[in-house]
Amino acid sequence: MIDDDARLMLAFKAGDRRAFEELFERYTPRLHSFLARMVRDRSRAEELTQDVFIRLYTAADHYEARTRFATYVFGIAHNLALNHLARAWRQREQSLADGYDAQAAEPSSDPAEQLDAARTQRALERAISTLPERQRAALLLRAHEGMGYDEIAAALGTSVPSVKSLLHRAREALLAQLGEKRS
Amino acid sequence: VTRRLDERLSAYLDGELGERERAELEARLRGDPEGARQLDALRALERGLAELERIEPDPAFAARFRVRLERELEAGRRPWWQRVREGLRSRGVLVGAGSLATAAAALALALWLGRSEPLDPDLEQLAEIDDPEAWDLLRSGDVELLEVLEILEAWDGPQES
Repeated sequence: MIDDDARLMLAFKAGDRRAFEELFERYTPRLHSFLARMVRDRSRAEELTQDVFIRLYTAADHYEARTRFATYVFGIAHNLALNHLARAWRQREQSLADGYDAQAAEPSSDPAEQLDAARTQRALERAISTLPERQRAALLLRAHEGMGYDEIAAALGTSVPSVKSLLHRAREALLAQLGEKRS
Repeated sequence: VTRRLDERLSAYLDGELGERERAELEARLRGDPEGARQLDALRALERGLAELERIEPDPAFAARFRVRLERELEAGRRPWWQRVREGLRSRGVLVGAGSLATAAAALALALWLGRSEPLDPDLEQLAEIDDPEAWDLLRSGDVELLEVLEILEAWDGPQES
């Protein structure tokens, strides 16, 4: 079963540039957000988001709708993020762990509650940023992209049992960190 | 102190347990207040994750992307051997046939071709060359990589016959 986005990519492969524009609109915010949390650096996230679309554009001739399009495109994004992190680690670059601030999704009218919610969100962002890369990727694909275990496995190039374990360890680590902060 | 989480709770939350496993876990949770608390904690965590805002790109992102795409497409229209040579030259690899830098690059390239780990920065640009002909040549066992790099330095491209 070919999903709607995969159909757009096939249309682009057949020469419809508007289909690429549509995919660009749909995926830019999602990819950028994923990559910003993966590499913890907004300007790098922007470059990597561009890299993903450059690859989609230039490799369209080779595209085949074997999996859901989101799985395909986040697989590319994940590989690019890992390459960047490996390079950054080797170059001993300083990552900008606090380069962005989360805000409460639905601000409360109570300033004390607002502050509390913002603190919780920031604590959560910080806790996510400390997770190992593969745990972080699995968690973000599950929480923000709503991917099933089989889709996450395909995007990360691993097995379903491994995804199950990655998610379990990620959540355990987050709860431990957030619990420690509360106490 | 957080008790060690049961891996099945996480899978349960994601709707990834089979029917029988799910029923067993639900039965167990009815008599296990600590397990039920862990599940509540996981649910709260999921709500927190879902409420995290998207990290939006700069408003000028689309315009910058179009400029870069044009540049990349323009570069892609040049023949592969020029791109290989430019890539090597821009990294200071091709400073003279037989030089130490060339030999080091050839060695690094040979090492990379035999493994799947991320590229070294100096070789990243090479990886962007997507012309299969170029990679076939670089991978071919009957041509020494060092020779390939040296040939590229001196080569003016395919000659019209």
